[in-house]
Amino acid sequence: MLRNVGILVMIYLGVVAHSSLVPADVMGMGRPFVPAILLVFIAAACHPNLAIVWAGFVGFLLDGLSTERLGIQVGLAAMLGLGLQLTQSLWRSRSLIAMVAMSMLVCVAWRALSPMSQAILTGRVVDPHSILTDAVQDAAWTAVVACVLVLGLRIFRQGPTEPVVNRPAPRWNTAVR
Amino acid sequence: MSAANGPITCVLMLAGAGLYFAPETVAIRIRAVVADIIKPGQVAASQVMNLAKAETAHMATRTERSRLREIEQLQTQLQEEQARTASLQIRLARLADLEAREAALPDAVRSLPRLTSSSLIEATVLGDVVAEKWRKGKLLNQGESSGVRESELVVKSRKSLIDAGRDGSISPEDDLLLGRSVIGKIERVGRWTSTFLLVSDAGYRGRAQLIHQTDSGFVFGAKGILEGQGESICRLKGIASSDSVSVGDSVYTPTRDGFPSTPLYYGRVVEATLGPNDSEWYVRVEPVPVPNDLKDVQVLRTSINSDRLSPGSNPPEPTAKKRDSRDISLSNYESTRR
Repeated sequence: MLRNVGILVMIYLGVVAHSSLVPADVMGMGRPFVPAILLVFIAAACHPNLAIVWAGFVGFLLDGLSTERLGIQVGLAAMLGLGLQLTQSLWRSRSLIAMVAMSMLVCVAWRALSPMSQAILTGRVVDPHSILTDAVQDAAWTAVVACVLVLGLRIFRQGPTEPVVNRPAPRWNTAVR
Repeated sequence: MSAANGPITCVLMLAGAGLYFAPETVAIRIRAVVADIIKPGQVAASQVMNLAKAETAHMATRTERSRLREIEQLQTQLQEEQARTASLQIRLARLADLEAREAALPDAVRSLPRLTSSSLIEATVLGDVVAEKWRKGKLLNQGESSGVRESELVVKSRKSLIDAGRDGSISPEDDLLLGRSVIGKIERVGRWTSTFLLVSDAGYRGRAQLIHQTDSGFVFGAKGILEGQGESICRLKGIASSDSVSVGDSVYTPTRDGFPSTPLYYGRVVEATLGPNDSEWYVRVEPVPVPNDLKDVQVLRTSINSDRLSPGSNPPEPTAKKRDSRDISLSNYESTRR
């Protein structure tokens, strides 16, 4: 229960930050896409079923704040949430690199699929190259913010988030002994 | 991965599709609800940003002020250090000159004690009321017969008095100092008191030398006679047209033939003009300002060295210890209080 309240607060703060604090354009090269980081953090923090529901809630809030037609962000967020769950065995170690890389991937997918879905549904013509370029630029900034957040959380928790793994001693070492 | 993930995702995608095809009125209502939910957070975030900006601006202003204050302190410190450097350079030049002269002398001569010695006598300028009582004999009226009467020359003079006279071995023409600056000289010496002339007083005459500051140091310039004019500005006479004078040059006591060997400050040149047919410069000097409530002064007394006058004194052996040129420092002079 407490964890879900925490996730709700995190989603609220993330959406507020995305809608009011994050500048529209950082140095003319995109902007951090905070919802992607939210999805990765949620997927790493809670039960898989709930994670997809929370992802859908994030999409719903983004839909409500956008001027486009409703529903697209909900669907995309749910799909990405499912994708994160399907691939969680690859990145669930919560290492810095894994979290940042997943944030970048989710950002690229979300930022690329969103305008393309709009275009398909409304019949508009879009430039896939420019969409992909924008998505990559946003992903770069998102990676920076994700890196800062993960490091900040580690410092706050006074320890590594990565679980300690007892590795077996190398064979040559055993032989010497 | 849970088996329910797929159905949950399908449900959410169906919900998304439902929202997509929802009527416009429903969409507007949903947008309003979401905006109402997010609005308080946005307002709070905006306030936090404004506070952060204001604090940043305040810190920048504070940093700028502290920098300005630091610059002012450094400038003051620089000026003080420059003044100190100028003083030290004058002393260094004088020391180097002395060292060169002494090195050229034979050892026997070099090791002789000085013929004269200088000392400072501290004295107090008598106030008008006390001076008047003194002149009228109200302070000491025992009469000439008892041998305790002040000199007539002093008593009849209307000049200012100091409380030092022949009892302090003071002589006429002794320099009157304020700190390290010459502000006048002794005019008449009585038994206990003496009159003095300020540099700016009419009738004051004293030898002086120009010192010019250049990029490479200080240059000892021409010598002349500093004369008081009865006004705040004095005149420096005897500077030939072939010599160099410029406004801002310092005027000191002569370095070669005066006592003590450390030059003492008179003032600075405020005007220097040379007409086409003039044989010497017209130089006006602003002396050191004398405070209205002048009280404590020093008299620079020069006397014969008793070591040189003693009957059995012989020139020391050539191996005698070389006289330390540092003794010219004014701080090493004998300072006595009667």
